Amino acid sequence: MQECGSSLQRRAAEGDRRALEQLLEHHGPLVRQRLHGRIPRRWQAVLSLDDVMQQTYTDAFVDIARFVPNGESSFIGWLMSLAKCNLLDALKMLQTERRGKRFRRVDLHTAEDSSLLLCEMIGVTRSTPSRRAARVEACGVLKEALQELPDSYRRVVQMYDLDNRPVEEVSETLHRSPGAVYMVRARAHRRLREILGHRSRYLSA
Amino acid sequence: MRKDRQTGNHPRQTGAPPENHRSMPGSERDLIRSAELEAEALLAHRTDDLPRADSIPGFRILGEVGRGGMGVVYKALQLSTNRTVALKVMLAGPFASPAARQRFKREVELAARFQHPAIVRVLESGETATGQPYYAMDYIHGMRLDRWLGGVSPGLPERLPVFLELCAAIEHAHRQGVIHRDLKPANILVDTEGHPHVLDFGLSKAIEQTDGWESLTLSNAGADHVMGTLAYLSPEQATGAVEEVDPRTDVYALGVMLYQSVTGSFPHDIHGSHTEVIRRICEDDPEPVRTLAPNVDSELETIVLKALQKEKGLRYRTAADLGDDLRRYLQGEPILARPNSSFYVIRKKLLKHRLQVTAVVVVAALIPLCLWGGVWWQDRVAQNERTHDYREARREVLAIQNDIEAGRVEYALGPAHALYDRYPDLAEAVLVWSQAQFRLGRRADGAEGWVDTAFKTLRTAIANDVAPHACRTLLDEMRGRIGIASAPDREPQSCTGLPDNAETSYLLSFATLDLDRAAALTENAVDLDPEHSLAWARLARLSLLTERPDRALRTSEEWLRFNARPAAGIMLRAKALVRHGEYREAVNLCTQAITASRRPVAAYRLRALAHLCLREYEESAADYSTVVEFDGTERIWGSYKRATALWALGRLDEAAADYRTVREIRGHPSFADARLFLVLSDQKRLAAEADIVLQEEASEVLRNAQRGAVRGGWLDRILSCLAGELPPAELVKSANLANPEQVCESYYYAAEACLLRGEIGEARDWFRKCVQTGVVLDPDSAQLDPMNEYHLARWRLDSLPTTEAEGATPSESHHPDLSTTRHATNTSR
Repeated sequence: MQECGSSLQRRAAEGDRRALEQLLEHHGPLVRQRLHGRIPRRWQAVLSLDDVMQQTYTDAFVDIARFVPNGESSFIGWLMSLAKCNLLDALKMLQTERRGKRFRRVDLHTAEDSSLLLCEMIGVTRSTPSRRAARVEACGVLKEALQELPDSYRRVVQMYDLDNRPVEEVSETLHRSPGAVYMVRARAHRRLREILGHRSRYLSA
Repeated sequence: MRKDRQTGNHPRQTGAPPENHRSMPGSERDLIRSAELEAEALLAHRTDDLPRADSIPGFRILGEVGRGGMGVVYKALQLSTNRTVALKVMLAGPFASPAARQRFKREVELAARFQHPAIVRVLESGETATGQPYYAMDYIHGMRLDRWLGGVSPGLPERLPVFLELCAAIEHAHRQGVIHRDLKPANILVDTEGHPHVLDFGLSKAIEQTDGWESLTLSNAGADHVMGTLAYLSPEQATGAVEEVDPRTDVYALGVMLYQSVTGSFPHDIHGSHTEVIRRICEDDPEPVRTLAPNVDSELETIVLKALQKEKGLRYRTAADLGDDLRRYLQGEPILARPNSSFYVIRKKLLKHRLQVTAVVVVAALIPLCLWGGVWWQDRVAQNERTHDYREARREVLAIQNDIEAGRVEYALGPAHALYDRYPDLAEAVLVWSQAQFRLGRRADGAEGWVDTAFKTLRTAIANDVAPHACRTLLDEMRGRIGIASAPDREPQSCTGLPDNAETSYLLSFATLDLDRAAALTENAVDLDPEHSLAWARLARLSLLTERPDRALRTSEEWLRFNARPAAGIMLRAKALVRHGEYREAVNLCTQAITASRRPVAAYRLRALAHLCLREYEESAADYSTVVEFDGTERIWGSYKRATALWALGRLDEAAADYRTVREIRGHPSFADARLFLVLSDQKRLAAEADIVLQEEASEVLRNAQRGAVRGGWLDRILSCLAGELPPAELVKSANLANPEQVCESYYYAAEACLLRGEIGEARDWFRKCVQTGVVLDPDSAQLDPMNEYHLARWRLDSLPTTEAEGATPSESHHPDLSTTRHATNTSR
């Protein structure tokens, strides 16, 4: 691996799945080792390193095109940053839940209202009078964007954010740990933002 | 989709694995495989809305590189050249609004103008099969500028050449008429060989255009993006001054990146609200480069700070100028930029803190003004107070001088000295104090030293130029009185160099020992100035002293006209009335004065006297009882005089108590001893036969008084007469005829001695003479002492049996008939 590290990285960045798998198999255990002990004891029942690593590997496959090879250690650094990001997402949400601050959830009075609130939550609109018309338009856009999400992402958003179901129930339904649900939810929100684009540009259209 | 590595189940599940769970990962490889499957699903979804890999003619999409609000950038293969390119495809759906499409096309057009190695070239543009616009550009193998700076960590010598190339690229764009307006590390890629490439002219504008970039400043979503952008905004962009944007705006952004590359920090803190960040960008000076990076050269700091000037005019005019100075710096040549001048720095600081500076200037101007105002005000207050004090002092002088001229020098001495002590520059105070000293020295045996003191006081005043003319006049007169020199050879009115006005005459009235002359001078003063209230007051007093009660009544009325001191005016008039024998009217005026005065003791005293003259002993005793409540000498004299009224009322115990009080307070023999002896004798006469106790007490009082009295003195002779050791006729003969008070007293005590011997006829004769001399001797109703003997003699005459009863034993008929002592008749003297 050491001898062909640079070429593997270059090939992986150019879209070679096999090269990426090899890199992950080689560096994954190192990342896992570095993350060891980073999950507080109180969260270990709802979040494991496997959750974090699986999400990290998924992200690596999805975002490999963004990786820029730059030396032998660049890949493990990139992979480590993905893993840390996922771990922090999960811990942040778990911590917030523990403090009794339920995540801002969409209150389902009507389907339209919930969509609007979700728009605000992911930061693509604000409830100011001058943007009222844009909000209505954004509501329709959001519905379209939700359909564009991968099934696993859409189901988390639908159940947790729009249907306002507790994380335990979402976890049971999706057969994922609560920590994993939170990581998927964070990814789903990012993806929604990407789909909806920059709010100002959208609204200026 | 993931299961527990040991159990094969979800960590929180114990039942059968769900169908979408993969069976048994067992190793990291299983996790990776599971993730790959999920990623495929995600990627499949992600590309659903994008052209298929071969949907763009001439290109094969290899993967997604990045995604923005406007479009997605793919890595693609240009089939014709077999080279890797970046394909930017505009997003479909709601983002493909006409304005967005227009903006996308403009970006293509602007980017196509450039032919510069540091600007990403646009290779081709067109529309996908679904109508989405796209363009192909160079694919740069590299990383963002900030990551390159932070990740590769090149030294400053390697970093600065990158900026040289950047400056050249931006200068090229400017020469093509394009301002980037959104220069930031995210829009600059550094390739693997360390060369920068500027991209994303999405927000740039042709110099002739004015629309477009407002959306950037209005943007407030996606905090990281906006804050990152804000950090590179120039002040003119931050304030929304669109018309101000020009090539120097890009120079500012280059300056920010240069600052960041040198120090590792932004020039301004970008935390906080947008408003606050914008304020900092527009107002705060950047932290000096060398504060954050001490090893940086001062010339480089100058270059960076010049690029970051808030005023466009002070920045580098073009990116080329900035690049040129950087080149000079790198080559060790003198740079063109110069640090800000001190004047500029001060001016900027003053402008920045103009509110505080204005406040400081105002305060600085106000402080001396306030100090001056405070001093002026204090001076004015002090002056007013002093003026007021002087006015009060001049009024005080009148009362003191009146006491002196009425013969009560011993009472006037203390106040006169206190006044002189306080106002040594007040002419009247000097004259009055000198008069008090001189008269005391002339009056009492062994007190001649006071005369010298008086001369000394006057000489001091002359030396100090305090009314020298008046002082010299008084000095001359005093010398004349004691025979040092002839009588004053200068009349006060003829003092040379003195203005002939009311004030001069008034002042000179204090510079004479002659009451008639003083009265004449005062009369002249009121003739010259009828509004001279002090002169009227002095004239009223002098009129009383010079036996002119009519004039006293008139002048006191004039004084009352000024209403300056109504109580004093009323009192003067009341005294004049007493002197005129109009006691009832005097009582009424005294009652008014009591109401008007703040310290009505004098009014009570005068009313008590008027009551005594009216033989209203009860009312008199009541008023004197009020007088003794006041402090000081009032207690002694009030008690002494109240005893007269009580004696006349037959309240002998109370009268004796009053005389005892006076004896105790004085501590040495006085007329109170003689009076006490007489009251005790009366008590003895009224008491049962031969009251041994009273007799012994009376004898004891008399013996003690005789022992304490000055041997051969006037009191000693009176006491001897009362003790039967000196015949009454001898007492009368021994009286000093020049002293009318002594004459009156000799008659009274001779009469009392006769009463004690039972010689009623002789007693009546002496009492009559006492009454006659008491009337003559009473020059001023305010002089109460002589009147005491007068009143007692009159009361005795009223009480003594008629001529037919003469010869009766004293114990039976010579004591006063207490039941008939009160006479309500308004008897004039």
